[in-house]
Amino acid sequence: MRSAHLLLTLAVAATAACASTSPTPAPARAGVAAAASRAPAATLAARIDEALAALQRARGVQPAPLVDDATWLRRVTLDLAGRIPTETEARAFLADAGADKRPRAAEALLGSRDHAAHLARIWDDTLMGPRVKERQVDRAAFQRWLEARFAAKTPWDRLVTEIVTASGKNSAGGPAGPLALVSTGGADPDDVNGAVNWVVRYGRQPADLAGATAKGFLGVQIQCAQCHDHKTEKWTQGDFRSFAAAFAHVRVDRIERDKGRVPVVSLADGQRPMRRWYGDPELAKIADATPKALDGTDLSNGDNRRAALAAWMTSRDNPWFSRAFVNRVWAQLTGEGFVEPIDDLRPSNAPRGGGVLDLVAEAFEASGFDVDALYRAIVATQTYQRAVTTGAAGVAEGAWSRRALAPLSPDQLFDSIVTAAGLEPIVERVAGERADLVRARARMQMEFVFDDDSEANAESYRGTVQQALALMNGLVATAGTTLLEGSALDEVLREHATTPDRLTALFLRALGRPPTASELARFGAFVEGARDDDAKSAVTAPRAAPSPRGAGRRGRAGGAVLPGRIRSRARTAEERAYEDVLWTLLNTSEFTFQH
Amino acid sequence: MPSPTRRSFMLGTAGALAATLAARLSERAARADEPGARPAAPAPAATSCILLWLNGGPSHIDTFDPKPGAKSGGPFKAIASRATGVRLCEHLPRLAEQAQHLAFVRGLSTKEGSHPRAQLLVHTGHVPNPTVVAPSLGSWIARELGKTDAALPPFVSLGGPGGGPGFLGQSFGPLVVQSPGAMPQDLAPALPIGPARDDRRRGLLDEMERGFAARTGDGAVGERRAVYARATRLAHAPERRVFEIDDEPEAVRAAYGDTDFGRGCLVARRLVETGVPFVEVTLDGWDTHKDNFGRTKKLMGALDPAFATLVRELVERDLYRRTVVLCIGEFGRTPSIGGDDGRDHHPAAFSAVVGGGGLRGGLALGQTDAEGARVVADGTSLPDLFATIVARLGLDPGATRTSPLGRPIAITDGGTPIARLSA
Repeated sequence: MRSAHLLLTLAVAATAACASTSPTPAPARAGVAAAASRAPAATLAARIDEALAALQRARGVQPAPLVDDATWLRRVTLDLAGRIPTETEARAFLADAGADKRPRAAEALLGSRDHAAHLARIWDDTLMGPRVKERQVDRAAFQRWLEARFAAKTPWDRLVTEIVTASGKNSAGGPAGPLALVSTGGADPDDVNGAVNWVVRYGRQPADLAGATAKGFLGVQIQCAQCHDHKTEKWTQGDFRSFAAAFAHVRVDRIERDKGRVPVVSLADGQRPMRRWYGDPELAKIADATPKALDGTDLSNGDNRRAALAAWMTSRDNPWFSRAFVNRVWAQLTGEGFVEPIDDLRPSNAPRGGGVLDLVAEAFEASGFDVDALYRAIVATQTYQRAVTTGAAGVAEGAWSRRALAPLSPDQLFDSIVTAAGLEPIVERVAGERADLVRARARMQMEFVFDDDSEANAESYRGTVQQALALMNGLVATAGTTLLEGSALDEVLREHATTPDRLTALFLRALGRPPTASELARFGAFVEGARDDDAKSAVTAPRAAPSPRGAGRRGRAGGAVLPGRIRSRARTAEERAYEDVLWTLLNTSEFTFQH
Repeated sequence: MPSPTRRSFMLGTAGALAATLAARLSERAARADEPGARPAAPAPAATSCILLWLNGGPSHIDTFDPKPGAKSGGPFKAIASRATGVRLCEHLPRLAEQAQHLAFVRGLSTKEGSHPRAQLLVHTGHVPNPTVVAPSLGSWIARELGKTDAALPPFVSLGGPGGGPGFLGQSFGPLVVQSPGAMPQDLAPALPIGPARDDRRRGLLDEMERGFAARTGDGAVGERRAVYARATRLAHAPERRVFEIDDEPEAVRAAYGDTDFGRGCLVARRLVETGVPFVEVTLDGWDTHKDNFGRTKKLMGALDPAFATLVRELVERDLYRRTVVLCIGEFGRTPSIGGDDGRDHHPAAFSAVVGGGGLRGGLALGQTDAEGARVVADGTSLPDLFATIVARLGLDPGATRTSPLGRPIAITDGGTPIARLSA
């Protein structure tokens, strides 16, 4: 849930935090073992498809055809790794003649570090909410912790238990500001437990903690009952307080607080609620309540209520835990949850999809809450591979007969521009030791502009003028489409000599597919027209583009001006035409949507 | 510079008669609000609203509700203003000169003492609720009064992020201008290209878009293209010059003050002149847990000329009747002064200033106790304040829209317009 714009105060750190050695990569999978692990996925996938096909037949809905290889690779790379495929990946996949190339490619993505990072960002977003500067939270540490767990293939019930019962030190006390809000990789020291930051985030308001727990992990909107008996469901204020009481013994004690750095706190369970609770009538009621789960199960458990809560949440008897996770993943991968809104699994909001939610949730539990297995199975379905085209029957809700267009998330957009334009080496070169800070700030800026209110009606595109302007004229997009030394554009122009080869390379980089014949003709004419114009005018174009400061009178923070060291190396009208080609591709809906 | 003694001079002479007459007239005007009085002809609706957002929670005691004799009244003196009986902090002299156009609402009180929650509450008029994010006032007004064919966006926020759109969706969020007085971010390319290149690549983009829309048959492409077209239009519109203040006379720019907030107020005047329905201008820094007096005095140095000049110019340019102006922060500050010479959060009693749009000016509404700690008379609720404003804009305070979870949410949380402010 996002709230309205709140003030972000970005303290600019003087130096970037150093990235230490990267954590151990995910275990590699040998060919035979991989094939064996795909068998149950294939079986489950077939059962899902069968159930949905029956549903479609019953409703007279014609499913869309399966997508072609280029579209499939782009879709699955965005869904699993949070970015578009590289040119190399695209070429290799399109040339691959093997029969099982799709499952093999999916497997490679599941095992990649990018996949772990992508899941970490999704769950950081879901659990932490809007990127507001919360004073005691090291959100980057939380992301790093999540990434490490996803990379280690920790089962979901273990992972959630660790978050709910987390204790210890929240942070190494690094610089506050973007580097505390956005992870740029690396690892925290062993004595830091990044998971603690989630409890700390909500810890001042146990009511918020209870609400966040129920919503994030169980898909239950109990927070309505905070102020009054729930209007439509059976939760009462008493139920809410009992649930919140599970967190009543949490203590947050400050260890360090240095100016400009993230406060370091220690989280632990005490024997009783903190004394300040008794000064607040509402908190006092929670402090006095017997801790109970949503179904009335007593969570008193002597010293460790949170452990009791985690055990109850992740138990096989809990009707919400596996279904809530499966619903989210299904919605992420197909664009539509069985239950909508995806975190509102109440009895009066019955799931669509003819029992598929229960089928998949049971399989998820049976697998030991294996996250990879779930993704693998869904990606293997035909349902996942349906095209966006409406086909003869038009759009039908709750039939999964086609994939709907969805805007890329801010993170996906950012990582895709960086991939398409080859910006990583440029950031390294230009920003030097501040590269991490630059990356964090750029990502945050993209998120600030492109963040969509998840409360908004997702049925229609709700982009903003500012988003369009950011792609049209913005810093990251412009840097991405300017001929800079070492950029994607630079490489393409060096490696390929003919117009068709260069255009093909740019299309593969930006859109993951080669251009059609008519696109080749049109874009070829565009480029060659520029070359002819150049030849006709006897004047040599200036060596570099005009000064970047010409963009606006006030070139300071707020104006979109490229740092002085970034200048276009385009010398001819033809080179500038290629800049325009890449700009066009990055501004298309084909680029900014998942399809 | 205003001379508060002029009025006392007036009262001491023939002006005494005039003053008595004026008092009788305002009495009668007050009675006109009572039921049974002859109703005034309805004034035409206002068309714009300017919100001056004092971020951090300004100390009401040190600004609009001074308590010079009180134990913790602080070092600032109080001065008379052009609003009868209303005294302001001595560091708001220019504002005092415009006080006859403004109502000083001193009886605000909420329960939200944390910045994020209070900021949300005061921007939206609804208590923050985890299940539904109410739209800010700016976004509501953008939704209700914005024209789809206008080149400029209906909601502009200068110097701060501004209120958010909540469940109305991102397209009703503000266009944020981080450096008031300059073009908004990304309105011009980061590396300039000529119009020929601009045209040619947009033509190429257009063709790609048409192809993709046809291939997918999905309405979202058309919607994105519409938004993109609006952005292109804004980037090329001559009206975008409204954001730059270089063509304003030096004297005008000086009167608003050489601060981001001053420039923001000048841009706000220009925006409402062109018909933009909602403009928010942020002045940050009021969260004075430390050095309250030094910092608040400095902030008033920015607030005073900008706010006063804005009101004066709106009046002079005949814009004041159609522009409502609200100046407010998320809460006030404690009477008690802490160890760092600071005041802490105090939502139990705080002030706002409202005027324009045909609202009554020259008065104070509501009273706090001798310390400024509690509201003791004529308290004002936020919903009622919002209702007063939206009613002036010709909107129904009770009109609702449905949130994604199916709850009807009204513009104001059950507010009704305040009779004493409505002329």
